[in-house]
Amino acid sequence: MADPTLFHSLTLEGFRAYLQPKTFDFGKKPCLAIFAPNGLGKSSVIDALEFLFSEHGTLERLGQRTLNNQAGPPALEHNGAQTAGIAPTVKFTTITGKITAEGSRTATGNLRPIHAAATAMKAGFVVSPIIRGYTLRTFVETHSPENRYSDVAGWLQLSSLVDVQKNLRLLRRDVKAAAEGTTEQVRLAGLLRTETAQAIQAWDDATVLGFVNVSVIAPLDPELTLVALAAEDEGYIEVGNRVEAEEKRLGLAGLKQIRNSLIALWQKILPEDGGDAEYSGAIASFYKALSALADAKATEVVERDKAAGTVFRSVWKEAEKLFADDATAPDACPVCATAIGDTVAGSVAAIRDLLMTHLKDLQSYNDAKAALDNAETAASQAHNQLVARLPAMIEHLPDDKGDGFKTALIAYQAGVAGWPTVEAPDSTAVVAELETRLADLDHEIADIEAKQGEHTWAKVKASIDRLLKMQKDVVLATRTTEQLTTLHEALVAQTTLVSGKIREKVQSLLDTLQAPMNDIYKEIQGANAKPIRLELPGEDDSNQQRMQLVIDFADNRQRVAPGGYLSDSQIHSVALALRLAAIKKFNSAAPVIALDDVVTSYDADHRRAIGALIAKMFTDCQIILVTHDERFFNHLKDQLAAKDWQFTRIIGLDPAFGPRFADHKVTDEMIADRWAKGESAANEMRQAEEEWLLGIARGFGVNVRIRQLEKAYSYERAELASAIGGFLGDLKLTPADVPGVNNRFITSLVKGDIENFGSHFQDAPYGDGSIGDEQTRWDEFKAFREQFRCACGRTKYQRPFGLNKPVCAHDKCETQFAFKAPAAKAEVTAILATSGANA
Amino acid sequence: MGQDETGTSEEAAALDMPAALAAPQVEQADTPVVFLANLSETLKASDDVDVDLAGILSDHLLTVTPHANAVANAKVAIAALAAKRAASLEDQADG
Repeated sequence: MADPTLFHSLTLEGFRAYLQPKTFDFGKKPCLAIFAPNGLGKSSVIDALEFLFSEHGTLERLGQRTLNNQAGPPALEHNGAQTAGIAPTVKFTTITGKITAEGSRTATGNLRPIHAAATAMKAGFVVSPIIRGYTLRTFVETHSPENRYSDVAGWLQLSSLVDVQKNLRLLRRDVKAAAEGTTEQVRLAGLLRTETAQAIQAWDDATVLGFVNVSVIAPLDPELTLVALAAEDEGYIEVGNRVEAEEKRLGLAGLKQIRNSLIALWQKILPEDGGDAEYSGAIASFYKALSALADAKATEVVERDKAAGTVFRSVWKEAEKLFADDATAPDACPVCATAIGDTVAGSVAAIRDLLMTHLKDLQSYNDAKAALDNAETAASQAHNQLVARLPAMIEHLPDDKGDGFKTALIAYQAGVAGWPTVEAPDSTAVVAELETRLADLDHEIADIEAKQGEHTWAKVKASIDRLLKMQKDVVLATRTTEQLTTLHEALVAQTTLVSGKIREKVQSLLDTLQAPMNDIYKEIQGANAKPIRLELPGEDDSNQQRMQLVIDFADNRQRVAPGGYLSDSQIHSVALALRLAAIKKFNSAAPVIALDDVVTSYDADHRRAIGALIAKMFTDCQIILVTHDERFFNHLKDQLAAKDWQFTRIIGLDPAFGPRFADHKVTDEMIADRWAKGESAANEMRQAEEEWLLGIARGFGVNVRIRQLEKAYSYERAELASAIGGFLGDLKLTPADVPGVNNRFITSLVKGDIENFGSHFQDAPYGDGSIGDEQTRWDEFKAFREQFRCACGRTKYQRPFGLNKPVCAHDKCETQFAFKAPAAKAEVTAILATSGANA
Repeated sequence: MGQDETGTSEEAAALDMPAALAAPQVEQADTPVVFLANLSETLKASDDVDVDLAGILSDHLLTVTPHANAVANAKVAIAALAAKRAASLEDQADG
């Protein structure tokens, strides 16, 4: 069996309340209890432990202070650490058997990585070892059953099983949704609506069959019907036959295609208003272009002849400038210097007429030449168009024996192809034949359209085929849905089986946790406390990932939640018991328990019970405990083994140092220091009184009476005083009255009249008196205490076995105990002045 | 009865942790891996169980390290199984 890992030391430095290094050494005494009033740094020790093992190097409660202003990791650092030059760090040493491991974790910077030694120790924490009092009630009341289930399953290392159950639940949900889903049906319905032109909204065999017979087949043949929408139906087979027949003859589409090819060559259109016929098509365009070209050529020849005389075109152009109307004409020819009057024209005016004639001839020729060029281009384009369109028409014509239209058209095509090298062939015969054929085609098409419209057997079959496929898809979708439904039912059965097995597994482990939990709970709350049960939901509950904490509160209140029926301390006890039981059971590899103020809601009896619980059931654990409850602290001191436990208290928080620890009893000087600072010393007085009573009770060997249940709120000092009073009464020893106290002091202690300082001056318990009241009260106590001083001056007694009366514990005195004679008032004053140091 | 409070010592201590803190008994339960493996086998061996479905659950979910999309993958597998069975029925119907 492997040795457990424990803390061997813990050092806080610049961390939280601790500025200067403070080391807690667990080498000789592994357990530690720290008492301190609130705000003095006791919880920083628990914080250090949480920080050491924190995944992200922070504290959970730093994020809980306020919702939107989290203190965050910077709050780990002591606020004076930077100024003091101290690196905020938590150092630790662990011990496993004889092997120690040192580690540390820096509390500043972004990384703050966890140390390997802490990781190794953390591996032993199945359950978080830290229990904070303020979380206990939350654990019972606010924690949802789902979270509690997840937590407990985590402790039991069954988180993966929780995930399995969660995934099974999600899968059940998803498969159910798929089984109930209609996506495929909706898609098919959409296709059906499209196929039937919105005539049918949802698939129905009879409706679809009716649609096929009436709307798909009847337009072509009302006599033909399908008996069933099936590939083997005789009607469907006949449709296929008709498709084949249709393919063998020219259909409407083919006729239209031939017609398109024909009118691309030639079409004669008679305007409805009775005007001249218009011709279109490539043949008409070509011959029209040829005609235009011939005209252009003729015009160009004429104009070229006219312009032939104007051989010196540039001369005429230059001369035009010299003889312009608004210019001063020259007296002689600028070329040959012949006088104007000596020229053939003979005058400037005649020269101007001559120029105009020649220039007009030049312009006409230019126009004719441009028109010829355009006509040639247009003819070429029309020729190209005709050459391109003829093959399509030829393709549509049936072969002949050399005497048919196809042969004629091919010959015509060859003639056209020879242009412009040769003259374009005559198109008269071709055009006449095309015109005849176009008329025949139009007639044929009109006949078909009148008969069946756009319907064809091919379309009919295609539509039926699509519906057949759709029918198949619908059947498949329906069957798939049925199969999914069946599988979902099987899935529910199987997941119920699996979930049940996991539940059994968890419940069996819960049972092993439940017993020790109730043992602990009863240790705190008494044997009559109603047992707490950890319960999973019933088998038929769809959500198994919940865990209830329930009790049978009364006959008519069975299996009720504790929150509604238990007291605050009971609820805390439930949570504390569960956590402690889990830690004890599962953290055997690192049996460390850190308790942070876990008794705040408990009364005196329960505080004592928790002390007894730790002493009885957790001796195999290393416990690090902090409390601000002094009584609880004193109970622990009273009950826990001195060899394993170290007790210390924080007496102040020095901002420049950190928490100041006291390693001695409360002294009169400590009380006087309080008063000197103007502060109440009530806590110290109560502690000093109790410590003194404990010392006397221990020395006298008195029997502390077992308290009655009805005195659950009796005070421990009263018990001690009662025991001491009873013991003295048996010995017939009576302390003298204390001056200023009406009744006997020991009686007041027993009755609890002066249990809490100020309570014998005030009606309310726990009342605070003034410092003067405290001083008076303290003087009375010291006067009472002084009577117990031995003649030798010492105050420690013992009662060896067999003696009735205690004797002075000093081995050189051993004087039998007897009350000193009551001091006179003046003596009392003197005693009070000097007794403090000997308290 | 009570005891004195003691300050914590700064000096090094001997490595002799109290015997009372000796290792307690640790229960060795079957691990989740083993448990789930056994559970898978139990499931498949159950009477009248749909073995194909049990196989899907075992492959996708009854594991401590499920795929990130384990649930979606399992659902797809179940849907495929349903489609396969539906198609098979149709083939039978078609002869």
